[in-house]
Amino acid sequence: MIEIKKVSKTIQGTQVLCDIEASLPSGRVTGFSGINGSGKTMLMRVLAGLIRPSSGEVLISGKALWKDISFPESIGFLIEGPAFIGSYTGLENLMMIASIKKKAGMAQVRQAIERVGLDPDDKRRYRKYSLGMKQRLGIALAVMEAPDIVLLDEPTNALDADGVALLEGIVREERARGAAVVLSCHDHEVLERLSDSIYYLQAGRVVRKAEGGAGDAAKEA
Amino acid sequence: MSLYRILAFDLRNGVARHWRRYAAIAAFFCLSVLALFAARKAYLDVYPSSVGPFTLGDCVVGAFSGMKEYVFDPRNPFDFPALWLLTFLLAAYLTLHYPYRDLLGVGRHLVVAAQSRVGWWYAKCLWVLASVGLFYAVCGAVLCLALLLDGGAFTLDVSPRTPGVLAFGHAVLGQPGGIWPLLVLLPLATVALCLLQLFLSLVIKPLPSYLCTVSLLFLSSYFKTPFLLGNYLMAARSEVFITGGMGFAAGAVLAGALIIVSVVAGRAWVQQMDIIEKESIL
Repeated sequence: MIEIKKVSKTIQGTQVLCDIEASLPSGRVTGFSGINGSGKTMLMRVLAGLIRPSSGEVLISGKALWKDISFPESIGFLIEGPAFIGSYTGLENLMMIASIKKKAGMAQVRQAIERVGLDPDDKRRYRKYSLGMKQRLGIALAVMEAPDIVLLDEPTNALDADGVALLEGIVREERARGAAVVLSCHDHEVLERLSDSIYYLQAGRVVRKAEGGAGDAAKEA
Repeated sequence: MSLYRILAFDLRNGVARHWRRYAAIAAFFCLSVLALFAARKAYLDVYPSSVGPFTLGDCVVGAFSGMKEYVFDPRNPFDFPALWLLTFLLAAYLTLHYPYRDLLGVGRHLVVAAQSRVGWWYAKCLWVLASVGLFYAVCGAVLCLALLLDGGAFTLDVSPRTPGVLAFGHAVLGQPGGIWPLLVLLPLATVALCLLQLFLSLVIKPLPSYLCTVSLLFLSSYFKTPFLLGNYLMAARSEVFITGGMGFAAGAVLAGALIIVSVVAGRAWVQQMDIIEKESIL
């Protein structure tokens, strides 16, 4: 459960987030929608602990980010596109990052790569990947350790129709697993289908909150 | 534990993967040794039979000779110590980009996974230490190879004529510790220089921090003062060779202070910094 309480952020004199209030429960998909520069990515960075709010606070399971904990204790994220080492294969990249926490072993990492439709035994280096493959690997990284929080910023970027379908399946599985999934997406139809609730951002402020269609889809399923 | 895991990552990705840079440094030191041999040949042309094969000590002093104190005089042109400046700009460049790029790239996943900004910072400080150590190891290997080819002696004694070959000016020899103070001060001051640059690279970005390093080294060559670190990186200004030269104790204190300030300030900065490329969002 993530609680965002009156979070504001000013960078170099520009206010990029303003009094954001939101509740992001576990086992639900929370969407953020807005045009470029509305603050979606910045909010994702705040939730990941990468940037510090100028005011307000973020509570992760009751613990205040930047006070009680430096980063969310169990989080996977894809923010600003994937970032990997070009000379390693996809599997090597994920194994290297997994070696820090040692929560996911080889089997989990391979499974995560397969979940996004990539081949874990692909010997191509990351720099040879297409944009869509890079994006898929970024999604695999976000979910490979089965984290409590999954942040996906524009996950449909560069994905083809099959990739979007795979992504939708993964988001639903993560939701069913009990993760708090946070999604920002330009494709409003995808966001509407996947989210339980959607916050609309404009110039760093929440201007509207609406229910999404994920609950209905889950009932139908 | 997270510190060691991040450090292992850094040694693999920030050292082993950069082997080409170390190869370039080896090539550079080959040129540096050639310049030293050329200086010896020029000296022999003037004073025939006065110089024998170099010792290892001669080669070390030659590779890091720098320039004698510059005394401003319109009739005394500033003899820019290009080779010396390049040597330390290479060391500084070796440790310039990796930490910043890492933090904005795959490193942000490591920081979050390790749950520790401080661990990331200390790992980068140790990475600088390892990189500078390897820099000097490469230098030592090249000098030893050159010595083998030249038939010189593997001793740290400096030949009496070497300061003359390197145009140190009024040089004296005979410090009880030989060149050991120089051997300790060179890596220590280089680590201080690179750690200061590392801290600045996070505050003002890598390129401006590199320009600070260039300025510091350039000013050091122009002004002989105990407050400019570069002075301690020049054999030609060391008390080992020059009466009233830069002292080991002062150099060690300055380098130590810079290391402590850089590590502590860097730790404080990293703990509150936003991990973001600011230009990308404003």
